[in-house]
Amino acid sequence: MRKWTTVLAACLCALAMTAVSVGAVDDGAAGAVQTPAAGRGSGQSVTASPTAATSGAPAGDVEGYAAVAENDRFRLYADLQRGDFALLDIAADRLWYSGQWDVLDQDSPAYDLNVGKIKTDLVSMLAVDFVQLSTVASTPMPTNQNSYAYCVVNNNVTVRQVSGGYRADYYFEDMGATVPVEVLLKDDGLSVRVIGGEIQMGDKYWITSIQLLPGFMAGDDRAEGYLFVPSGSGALIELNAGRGNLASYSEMVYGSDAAIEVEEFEGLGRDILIPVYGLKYGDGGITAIITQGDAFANICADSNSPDTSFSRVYAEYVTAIVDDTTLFESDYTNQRVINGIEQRESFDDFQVDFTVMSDGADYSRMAAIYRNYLIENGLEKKAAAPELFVTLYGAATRKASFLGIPYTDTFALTSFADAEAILRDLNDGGAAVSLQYIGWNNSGVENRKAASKFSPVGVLGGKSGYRQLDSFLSSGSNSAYFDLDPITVRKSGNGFSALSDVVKSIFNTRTPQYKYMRSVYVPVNTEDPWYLLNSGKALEAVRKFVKSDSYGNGVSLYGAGEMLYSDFSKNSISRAETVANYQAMFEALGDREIAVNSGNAYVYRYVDKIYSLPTTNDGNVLFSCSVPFVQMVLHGYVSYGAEQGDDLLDCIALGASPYYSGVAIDDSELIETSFNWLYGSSYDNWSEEAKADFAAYSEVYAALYDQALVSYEETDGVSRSVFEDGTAILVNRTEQAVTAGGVEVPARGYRVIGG
Amino acid sequence: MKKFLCTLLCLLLTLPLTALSVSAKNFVPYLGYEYNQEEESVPAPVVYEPEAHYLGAEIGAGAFSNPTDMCFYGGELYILDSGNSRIVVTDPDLRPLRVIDTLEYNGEALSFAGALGLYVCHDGAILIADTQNHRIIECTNGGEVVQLLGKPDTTMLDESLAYNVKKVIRDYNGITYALVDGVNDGAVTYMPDGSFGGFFASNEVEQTAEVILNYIWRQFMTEEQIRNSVTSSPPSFTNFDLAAKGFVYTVTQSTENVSGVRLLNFKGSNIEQGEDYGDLEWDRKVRDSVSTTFVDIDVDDEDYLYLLDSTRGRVFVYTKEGSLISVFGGLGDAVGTFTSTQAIETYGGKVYVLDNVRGSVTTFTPTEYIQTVRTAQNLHDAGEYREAKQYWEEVLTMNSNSTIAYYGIGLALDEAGEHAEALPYFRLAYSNKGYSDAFSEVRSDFVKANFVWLLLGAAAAIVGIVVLCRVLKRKFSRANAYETSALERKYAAPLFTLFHPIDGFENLKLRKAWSLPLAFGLLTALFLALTASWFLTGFSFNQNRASDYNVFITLLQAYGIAFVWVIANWAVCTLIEGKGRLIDIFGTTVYGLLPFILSLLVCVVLSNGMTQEEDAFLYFIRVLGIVWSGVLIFTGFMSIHQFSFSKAVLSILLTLVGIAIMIFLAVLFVGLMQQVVSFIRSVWSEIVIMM
Repeated sequence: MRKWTTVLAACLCALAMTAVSVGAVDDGAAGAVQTPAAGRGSGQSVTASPTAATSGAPAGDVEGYAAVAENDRFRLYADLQRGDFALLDIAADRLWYSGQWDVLDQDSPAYDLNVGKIKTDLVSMLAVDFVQLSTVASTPMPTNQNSYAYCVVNNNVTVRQVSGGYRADYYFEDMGATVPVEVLLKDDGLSVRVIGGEIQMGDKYWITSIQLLPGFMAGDDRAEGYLFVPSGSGALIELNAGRGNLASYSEMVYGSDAAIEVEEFEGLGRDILIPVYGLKYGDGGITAIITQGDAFANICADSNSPDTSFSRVYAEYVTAIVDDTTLFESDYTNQRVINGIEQRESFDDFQVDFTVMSDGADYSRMAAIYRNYLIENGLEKKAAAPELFVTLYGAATRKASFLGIPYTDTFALTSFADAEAILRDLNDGGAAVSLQYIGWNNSGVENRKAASKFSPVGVLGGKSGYRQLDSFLSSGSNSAYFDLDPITVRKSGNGFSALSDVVKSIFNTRTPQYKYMRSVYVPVNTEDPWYLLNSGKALEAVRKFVKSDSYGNGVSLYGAGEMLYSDFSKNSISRAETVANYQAMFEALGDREIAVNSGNAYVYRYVDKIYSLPTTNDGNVLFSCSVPFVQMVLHGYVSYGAEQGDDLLDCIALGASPYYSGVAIDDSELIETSFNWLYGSSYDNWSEEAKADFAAYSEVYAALYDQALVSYEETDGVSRSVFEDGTAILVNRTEQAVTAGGVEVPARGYRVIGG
Repeated sequence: MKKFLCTLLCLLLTLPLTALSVSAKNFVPYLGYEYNQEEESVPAPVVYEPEAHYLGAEIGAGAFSNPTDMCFYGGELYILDSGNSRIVVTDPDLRPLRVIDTLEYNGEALSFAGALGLYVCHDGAILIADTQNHRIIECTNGGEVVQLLGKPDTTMLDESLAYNVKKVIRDYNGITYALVDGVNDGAVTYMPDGSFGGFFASNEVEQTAEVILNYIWRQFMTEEQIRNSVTSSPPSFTNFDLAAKGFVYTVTQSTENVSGVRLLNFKGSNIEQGEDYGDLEWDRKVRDSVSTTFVDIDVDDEDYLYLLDSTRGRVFVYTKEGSLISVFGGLGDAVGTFTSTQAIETYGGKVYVLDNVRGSVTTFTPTEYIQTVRTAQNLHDAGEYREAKQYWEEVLTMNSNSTIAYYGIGLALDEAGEHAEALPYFRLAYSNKGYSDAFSEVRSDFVKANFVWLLLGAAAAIVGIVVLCRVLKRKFSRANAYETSALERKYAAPLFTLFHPIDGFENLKLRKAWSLPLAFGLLTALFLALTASWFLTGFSFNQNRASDYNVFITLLQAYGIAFVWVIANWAVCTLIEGKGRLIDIFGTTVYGLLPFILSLLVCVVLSNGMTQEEDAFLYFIRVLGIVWSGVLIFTGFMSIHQFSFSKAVLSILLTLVGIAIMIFLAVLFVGLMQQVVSFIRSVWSEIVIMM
């Protein structure tokens, strides 16, 4: 996989170099196809998107474009030769072009500042990555072609008007491929769709990805504003952050695919949880929501690269995965790496809805737009009164031997009786608890056979122990989520095969999942890898479990919220189908309450609790700052817990329940086991802090837990969170008391105002 | 997969940390780890968190172009912006204060583009290792050039040497040290007046077995082969730093080993030298270890060493004794990871790392965990164990895997006289020595408290043994020369042969009185004794971890070696007309092992009551067991094969040769089978892929 990316990077570099000449071709072509800025040469300069339309004629025509649709707020113009568009925001008197045309205008400073391939990317409706099928096994050389330099210049665009908009078919001559795009006006903006069913490919090249509107949501470094990137909780990239030499950002929505083997760990990251990105430009802005094909999407962002003055964010439709495998792995002289490509039989549609904000655009409004979108699609307010989020680990295994004969010893980390004692102690300390209990069933924290039936672990107290804990839970004020891990397996059994029912790579071999050495990032050699049941079988496992469990307690499916994967075996299961299977799992659980971890967007409608909702982004050096976007979307609707290590101030500022996790036993017992990652997690280490945190948290949020978080700002370590009912919380993370808006906030403290 | 794992690992990080940074907390893109006694990485809390990432353009100093070095002086950070031929001076929060970019010397403007080293001396003078121009520029803090130090005029340097100066420092006596590309004799030094001062601290070629072997090989190689082979030239420094007391620390990139660190005094002789720096684990599957490459070193106010690695973009923190405190950083796109690490500095508790490709400085702040560890470690180093104890206890609530914390508490308890309480802590710290010392106190306390009873017990035991011996002797003695004693009966035979090997084994052979069940029973006893000595040997002597116990190896030790020995001996003795049958050889071997088995068991028992000082006694028992068994087997073979002494010696030697051949064949066979299996597997995987 890494090799593939290096090859890709090398090719992109090569392309960037040759593209200088492409630029020259464009200049010649510019006259022929007429660019809005350079070709027209009218008095009003059209320098960057968005642009104030000519002041005299707000309702007038845009030169070179035909009006194809109109509603109360907007008029959609299309260039019927090139297939690009301009959207007129009538009230705001503002034009949004699909590309940054002044990069082609020799008189504009942007002409010299943007060099190489990015120049034509910035004015393209789409750019496509191709791989030559005949060479894919040995050297998968990706070629990136954008619609401007390869279709518009060669007059290979077919545009036709459809009801409410238009459709443009881009034909890539060298590759023999056609990609159709449909642009429709909608009430609050427009929607752009790659028509998946009508993508055509030749015999020689396969499309691996399509970058949609790579120059639409962009701003150059003279502009005021920022890009919103949904990394983790959310991130902003200032448009005028200054130039440097930083790599671009590109991550898969809902995380990378676990069906691809990772032979070398690449460090910790943060997944994209929501298929949303945005641009604030001056007063206005655009919120983009990927409404179809989100499971196949990458979100990409650029800034601070030496060959462009623009920062931009766009979505990419991944249509094929290229993976590699090593043959003759143990034979160093003869081993060789071969590559393979996923060849889907059909393609889903890929649609992005763009909502235009006329004035007062900011990320809080973007969050509101996305929240409303979710509400329209069935999200309801179901946040619960404040609870302390706790994860306890049940049973673990370790190597042991008796008279020299080795065996695997299952031992208790937290027995059912321990769990009850911990809950009682926390309750006595004033905390209502939302318990996630991992490793209580089957073979403990690490599944051996598939977890498809109700069988509480014996060393934890077995069925009678469970019954006792259950009766305690039903009498008290706590909620509990018994984790069922229906996905991971190490051995066949319980009706599922660890050979045929597990996820396979595109080479039709099982994809092993590893634990990695923290030092050198290669798989640990003391533990065997595990495998993932494909989502269809995992769904079956959940259904079987539900039948065998008559207690009806809440269920935690932590993997379903944080990991999305395909299965590339013969009966392949795509990421989108896995999403459907996950949702079927949630439905199969009926009335039971559901908790997940991390919280990818497809779970929001179904779950009651989200554990460990990220409170930061992945820290990419491109990002100017972190914003709690996901929290703004979810607060008041779904209860969520903070991450391990977040302090009380984080919880108060973000409306996240304080979170603690651990075990009941003395953690020094874990030193020589593979569970030594649970260091320092004994209940005694955190019980008092947990109680204190919860007391402070619930005092603030008893009245606010069901209120949406409508705005969040942070300057110099002081944040201000405003809720639906007008209550504001000021949090000061600095070591000095500060006065903000006439209110003094103590050092490392907080104040609640109004409400 | 990566994402799944990341989130999984995040989920697993269960340590409550208090964020110390004043701004909103940053994502920490790496995991903490420490190395245990077995050189395995063990999960540990993160020790430094990324605080901020500064691009030249963002701080208002203009974009950096390949910045190569930086240096703190008087609370100001000097950044060598090499590509732009300038030095940017900022405050500790990276707010630019001034820029030194025009250097004039004799009316001529000096450019130092491409310079690799920068040092600000204690008097404020700035030294630039102007690599591309083969010189060192010394200027005042105001930017006035004082002197240029070029290639010294000495025969000790090769005339063709380009003299690319990479790094430079100056000590408190005004002596300048320069690292020059291609100079392996150590650092080039200049006296305060600018004259050549000789070489400082050359790294010597270590006479490792490999180097010696290479030397021997060389004697048989053609000249061309020699040219193509790797030469054993001494590793040269890659960087250095001046510590508070005028000591110089150097980092070395050695070719095969992990990188080394040396602490040198002003004469250039070693004070400390260590080899086990950097990452100790490697990919056993790929087998090519990509070792740590140290590019810079910094020594902070408390003499902790910060070593910057470029292979994996990590910072390793060591105590001045060279024990690893922690590791942080990595390669990547996140704040706190790097594209290419170049230089490291510490100031006011923070760590600053320079990335030359991105052109940025990243700052890190210590977590509560590392601050507690350092407080405890400093008290510990000062010998104040009891004061350190509460801090170590605090460390344990954050990291229950911390062996140094267990050790510290153990020492504190031991010092406070709570020896028995200290024992479990030394056990958790894998400290056999600490355990032994504490145990000897526990034992002497016990002896003092129960002296009378012990004395009475010992007297009773002696009397008992004497009486028992008498009784046994009477019972087992032969009535007359023609009878056999009870000891010579089938199942007691091994006891008889203990003292009468020659007639004992001969009798067994003649009477065909071997007992196979007894023989296998004895081998099983050997297996159990080996297992017992793995698990039950007193901790003062026991370095085995229960989790490392391998039943197959132990079975091989107990049964495998005996079988191979017996078969080899049988094969050899058949050839040289030994009279012993297979069962005689087997019986003699196994019965003869009895003293060895007993010595193992005695050691296991005694080791639980002894300390490391008394190791000699255990050693004696072990040797006694082996020699005794050896004598029994040897004399036994003489008698069953009816060999003379010299022939018996010959047969043993031939047996050893036979064993070697058998092992060789077995290894060959296993290797071949592995290849066949891996071939079939690969063909299978290819078929699967093609389908």
